[in-house]
Amino acid sequence: MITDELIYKTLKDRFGYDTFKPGQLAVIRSVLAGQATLAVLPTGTGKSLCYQLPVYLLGHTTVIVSPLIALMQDQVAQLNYQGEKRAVAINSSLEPRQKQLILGQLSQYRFVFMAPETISQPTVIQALQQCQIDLLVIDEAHCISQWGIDFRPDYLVLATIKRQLKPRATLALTATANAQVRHDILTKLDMQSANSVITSVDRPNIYLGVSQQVDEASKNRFLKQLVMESQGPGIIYFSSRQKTVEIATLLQETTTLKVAYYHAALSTKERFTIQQQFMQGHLDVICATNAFGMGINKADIRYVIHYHLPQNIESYLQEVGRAGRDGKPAYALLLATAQDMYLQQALISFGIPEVGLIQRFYQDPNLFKGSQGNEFELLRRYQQIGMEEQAVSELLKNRQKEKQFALQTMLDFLNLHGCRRQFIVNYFDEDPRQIEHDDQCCGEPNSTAFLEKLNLKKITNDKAPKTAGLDHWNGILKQLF
Amino acid sequence: MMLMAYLLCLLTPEKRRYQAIYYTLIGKRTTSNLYAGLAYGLLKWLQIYPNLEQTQFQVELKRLQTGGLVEIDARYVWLTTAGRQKKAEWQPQLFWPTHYMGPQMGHLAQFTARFLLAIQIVSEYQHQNTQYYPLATSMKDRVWVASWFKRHKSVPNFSTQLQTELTQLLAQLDTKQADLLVNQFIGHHILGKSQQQLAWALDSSPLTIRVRTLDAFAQILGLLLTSELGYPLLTELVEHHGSQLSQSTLQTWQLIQHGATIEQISQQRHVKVGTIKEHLLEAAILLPQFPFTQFLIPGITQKLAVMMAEKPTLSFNEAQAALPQLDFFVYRLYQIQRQVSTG
Repeated sequence: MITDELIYKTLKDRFGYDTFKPGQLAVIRSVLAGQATLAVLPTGTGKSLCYQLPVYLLGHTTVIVSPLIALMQDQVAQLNYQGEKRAVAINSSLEPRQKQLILGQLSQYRFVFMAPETISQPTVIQALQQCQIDLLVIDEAHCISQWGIDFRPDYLVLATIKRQLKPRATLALTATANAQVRHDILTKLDMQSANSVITSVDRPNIYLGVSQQVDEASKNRFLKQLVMESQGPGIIYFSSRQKTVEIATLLQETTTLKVAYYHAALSTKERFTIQQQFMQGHLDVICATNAFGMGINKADIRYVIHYHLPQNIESYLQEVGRAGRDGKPAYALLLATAQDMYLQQALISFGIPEVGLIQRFYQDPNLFKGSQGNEFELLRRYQQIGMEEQAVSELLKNRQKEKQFALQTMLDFLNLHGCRRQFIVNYFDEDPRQIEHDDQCCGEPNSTAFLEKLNLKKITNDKAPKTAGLDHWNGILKQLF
Repeated sequence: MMLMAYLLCLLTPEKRRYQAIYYTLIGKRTTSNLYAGLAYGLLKWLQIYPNLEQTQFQVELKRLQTGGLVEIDARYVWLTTAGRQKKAEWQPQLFWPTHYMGPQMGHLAQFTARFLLAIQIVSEYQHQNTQYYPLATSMKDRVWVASWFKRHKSVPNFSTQLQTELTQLLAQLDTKQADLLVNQFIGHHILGKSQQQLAWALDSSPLTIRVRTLDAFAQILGLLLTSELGYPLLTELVEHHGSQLSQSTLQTWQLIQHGATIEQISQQRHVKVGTIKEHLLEAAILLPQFPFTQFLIPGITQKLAVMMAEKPTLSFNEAQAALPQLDFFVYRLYQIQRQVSTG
């Protein structure tokens, strides 16, 4: 029996904290007691701690299934940074020889991160069966639900994997799951008797604002004014790469802010540099697509602005959740023009194959062997995991409907007359509590008056010119060594 | 804008297969792409833009078309008169690499990643810091650099020696190029500048910065490959067995050099004869000293020469109509020889 005293001691010794955030302790106790556990904790409230801490008390291997390579690598880097060397990510970026090497000594690792498509490989299963697995963590567990925003067919094999690996406990983690998705997670992971730890999605220190602008020009003016007046650092999210560049350039050229843009098409080195600069406080604002943010563990982000309407309220909330992790006031602002709504409408069917295509694909998959695009990726994965044409058709039809519904919810949120915080709590929470609405909660549309009320108005306006030109190479070399 | 200008300069009034150009830029090494790269004189830009996305490429072509600078059909793209004029105007304004040589640059990205990571690790080590985020690289490169570091770290003055090597190396670059490069280095308390920041600071475009950086690294790689003795530490970061050939082609090529025939190699490696021939075509395109005469029979090549003198674009079908025994391999190899010899 592991006592709370020991848990708190580990919290202090390993992570340097004295207290837990809501939900964390309950999840940790449940996991340590060997209970299957579903934890729904909002972004920014320390989900990873829920499995990281038990690892040090259980002592063997913990396997974490994670949907994205970049996310896994960030998590390993984060653990390495905390001084944990026994962490590894096994995914398609490994060379066969290295993978073999790591699999051969898998039990030496405390943290093993895996993509769902990797964990189902026979050699990987075999290697895992040689380890004593304390805990199987399904991160971003909402990916298993076809009702979820990021449905990943590969997640469907995880129940089978779980039976094969027989972990001491299983932990499904997610930040955003409404009742339907939670039910789906529990069923598909075959853990109906799990303990559920669900904390409210509400993050009281984040002000929720919206602003509808007539056109892009006025949106840009409003945005520029807002970021110039705001205490940073902050993130502006876009749904187009081109726009991240455009607006970053606008801000760079017309303000004294230190700006960067970030999207998936930048080189690895470029992304690394920008991410590190942001983490270490060298940038005021970053203009990014949703490629930025996962694994970003920066506590003092003061605002998250959405330049384009997000596709659904789950993504919105996840991105907003990156603000104010230090518990101090922060704000989220959702910008929109009528045009943006059409854009999102058009994006809904993007990447979802139509019935005709599904039919042709199932008749003759070879026809599409070299075809690229999300549609084909998706169909190939479905076929690989043995789904029939009829089932795929139905699933995708529902998916389209879901996406439509999700966008409608987003629009409702945007056009809401009333408390937006209450809306979110009602949408996600099991027992939605009554929010005490005030002017620090969500406030008037199209106004920047909240900055003053929240004490987020920039006090100093440093007019220091941005450095032009480059440092001499020889000087930098001397500094380096 | 900048990408569009670069692309325009890769085109001519003669029709070029646009997919072949795209594949040349991203470095897809199929024989037909390599041959197109050779025929278009674009092989020197092989793999210069590995993460250029197909959609982006198409968008840029479309913009050129909308601007009336090119014409496009189902397979080909070519310059209009306006396009030719624009090309003459833009070409001298763009930065063109002088050290980047496509076929030899297969390992450039890997070398760059290792080089930067090595500098970061040694810099942090020199400042006795173990708590930092290592530069994101592939696991393979990280393992490689870590073992390089372990081999050397106990040597006295290790970091001084590395610094000396770097100083000597960088002194050979144009100062502007050296500054551009070193401002991107990462190390202890040094985060480096991103290429977008450099572009803003120099009033340039990110793509130009990208191309200049690439060329600076190409120069460094070239220096390390040619003067091994001068830079013992840095040279170890270069993959030496890496030739310009892909792994499988390299094996075929080595067997050929040991006197094996195509059929023997096919049997020994359990690979189809057709594939072995593809390997040889790749070698013929990429290797400067390829022994064409070993595979071409004078009687046939003379006939081909006569036909191609009349019609340089002679297709395989046309050639085969006149020479029923003609093998595609021989036809293509002869074409390559013509291209290589006319440069």
